[in-house]
Amino acid sequence: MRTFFSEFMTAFDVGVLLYLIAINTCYLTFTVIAFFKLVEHRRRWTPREVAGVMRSPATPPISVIVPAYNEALTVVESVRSLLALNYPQFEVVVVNDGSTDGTLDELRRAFGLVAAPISHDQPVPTRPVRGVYRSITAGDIVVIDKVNGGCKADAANAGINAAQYPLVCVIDADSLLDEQALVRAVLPFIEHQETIAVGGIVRIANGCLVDGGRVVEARLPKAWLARFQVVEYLRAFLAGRVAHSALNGLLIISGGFGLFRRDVLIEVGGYAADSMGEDMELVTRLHRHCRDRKRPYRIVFRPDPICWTQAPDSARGLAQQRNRWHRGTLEVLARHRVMAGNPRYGRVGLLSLPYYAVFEAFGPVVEALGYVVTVVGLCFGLINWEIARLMLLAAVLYGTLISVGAVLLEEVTFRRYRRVRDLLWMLAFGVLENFGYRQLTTWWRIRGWFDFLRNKRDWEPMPRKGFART
Amino acid sequence: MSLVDLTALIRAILIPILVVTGSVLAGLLIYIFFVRGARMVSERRRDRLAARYRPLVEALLDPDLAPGAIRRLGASPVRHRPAVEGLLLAAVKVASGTFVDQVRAAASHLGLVEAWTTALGDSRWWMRAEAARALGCVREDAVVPALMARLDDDHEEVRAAAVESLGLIGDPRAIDALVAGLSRESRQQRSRVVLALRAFGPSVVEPLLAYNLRHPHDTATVAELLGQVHAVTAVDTLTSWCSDARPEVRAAALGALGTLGPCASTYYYALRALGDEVEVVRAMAARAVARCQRRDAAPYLATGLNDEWAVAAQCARGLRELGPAGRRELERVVEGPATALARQMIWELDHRAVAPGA
Repeated sequence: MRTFFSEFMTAFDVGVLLYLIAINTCYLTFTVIAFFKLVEHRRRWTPREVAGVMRSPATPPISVIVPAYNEALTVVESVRSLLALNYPQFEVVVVNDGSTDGTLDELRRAFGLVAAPISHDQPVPTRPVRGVYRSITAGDIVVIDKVNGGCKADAANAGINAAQYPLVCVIDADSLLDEQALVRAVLPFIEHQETIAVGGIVRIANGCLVDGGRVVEARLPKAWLARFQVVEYLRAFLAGRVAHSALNGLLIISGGFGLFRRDVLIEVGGYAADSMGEDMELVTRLHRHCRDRKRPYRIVFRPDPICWTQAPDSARGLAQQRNRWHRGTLEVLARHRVMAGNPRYGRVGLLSLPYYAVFEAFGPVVEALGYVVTVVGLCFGLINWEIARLMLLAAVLYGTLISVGAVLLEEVTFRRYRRVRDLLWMLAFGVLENFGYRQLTTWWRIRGWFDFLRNKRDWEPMPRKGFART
Repeated sequence: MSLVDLTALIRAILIPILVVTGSVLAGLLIYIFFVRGARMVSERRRDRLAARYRPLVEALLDPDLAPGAIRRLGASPVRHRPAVEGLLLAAVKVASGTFVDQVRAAASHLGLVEAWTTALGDSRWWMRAEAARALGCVREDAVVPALMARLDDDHEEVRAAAVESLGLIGDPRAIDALVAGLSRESRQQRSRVVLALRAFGPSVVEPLLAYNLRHPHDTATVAELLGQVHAVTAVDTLTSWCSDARPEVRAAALGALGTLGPCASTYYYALRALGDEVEVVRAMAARAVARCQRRDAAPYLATGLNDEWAVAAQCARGLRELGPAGRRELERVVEGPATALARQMIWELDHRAVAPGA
């Protein structure tokens, strides 16, 4: 009997190990694809190209949509930084989603807003709009004041309705866009007419030096939890999204920064207000919509338009965020399950969705089971110590390799973190994350599974801290 | 399989994986440190050389000091040339006039123009593209034929650089080749050609019209371009296209006429197009009517306020720009879908300084 258990547990651990090797091999493949793509990208998109966009008559104007719920602390600075963006023609549409902390008053005070008539068409259904405010003194700002919809999606939809330009850029109110973000993000729309959505990279603003709503120097955060996330974001964006985009199977355009064709958004009914992962859901639905109609389309990720965001630096905030992200992923996979494995949906159906289902959705479950079985096996002497040590070492080494690969991508391309000590810390955190942080995120994602199965839908917004200044 | 076999199998799999992963990891770490170190050294050297040669590049601004500066730049060691090249190109990108001539003279003296011309035939596309851009920046008209040859390059970036450079140089020999580029594949490339052609001004009108005869399917683009180069001599052609069978041509022609501004013949063609069956044509017609700035246009624009949204918006904007006559028409709108739009325009007239054509 004891031998049977011992064999079962060892075999199970081998299964988990093979799974980990498979998932990390996927990441490694993404890193290699991303390396070549990023090097090509750096050669191709020169500053001169950006200058060309600024001059070109073909450059489409953009409506930047900022859904804001209880963002009184950061919204004015965010909007100021948006108004200073380097782009030929754009408007800023702030949607006050029934805030109770005086967000609207802050905006009225800062930008001299006055009430204007509600004159726009409202093709995407949203909670009622209470009023429209425009600025007489501070350029193209429109503030939509609406009844709280309980989610960012409803506010973003109200912004899409009010937008007057053909492209809409949806961002978070606590984010700061890089000065050239719009110019760089719009290039695929100019280059390929069939482009319907473009995502940019989200980087962590905690610890960075901010002046006048601009990140003037990228630095690592002081809080350890946020430092882990810097490496994690590099891995997700520079390796994962670049590779998914190269394979034409991008499923997520981060809610923090995405540029979309407004007419297509209206056609698909905007963001799904009943979804926890509205950003992934929208992109998946765009794929489905276009594939169903056999319409040529492109959804791409660009690594150089930067959106700086505040990452949660407390365990509670991070737990909520990861829980919500995981619930969102599961919900999107469930909602669009007919696409998975369906050749009709091309690489999205055959590669991206199965990848998300097998590795992203079930990854924490398999990993957690592996930990449990290993600990139980070791406690009862059912698993060979040497094998357990070798497997742990393999998991840590392979995981570290992926993180170091992501740091390498940053180093050979954008190199935002100029200080040598930041580079050393990033490398160190690539190793350290395997001891504690990784297990924590696995646990939070497992809780996401439970909450998804319980159909829990509520989420608490992250408390805002404002940006540090130089 | 027994436990012993299983353990041996796992060990046999894991040990090679560990060795390979560990070696790759060590290699990556060494590479990262090497890249960072090399970059730091290179940046320091670049800063040092920039501090040394920048005063000489700035001296090119002064016609009296320029010959001496060119001589001293020419005496710089060959290994410093890339840094000097970078400084010259950075300066010339934001400059015009005699300074560009001085930079060109300096680049020629340093052998850079010759090196760039040679690099136009390099096997690496980015070298060809950089060389084409550099030659455009210094407005080197001797290389116009070589740049024209690059319009047929295999790589789009090189073609793009050639188009931009030919636009910067502004040599009329390039007009025909650039106009022929309008039939190129990507929209981005076409917009570059449009930009380059705009730099030539009205002198491109004749080649454009000739191009249109050869490529009648591109009439809409040609119409758009005629507007952008302010081709007042092409008004008659544009008005004739207002009755073209293709709606995109009618819309582009009316758009171009609107861009060209007030013109008696435009007004009547645009008025007629207000009754067109296609929405985008009516919208462009409304814009063109408004740009004519005639008070008697107000009642015509008012009729479009209850049209489709795009047309109504153009009519409302037009009325906003027509002064008291337009305001009177806006104030008359008391019911129907145009009410909100009219209220918005009146609000804008009361609260905001509206730029003409906005």
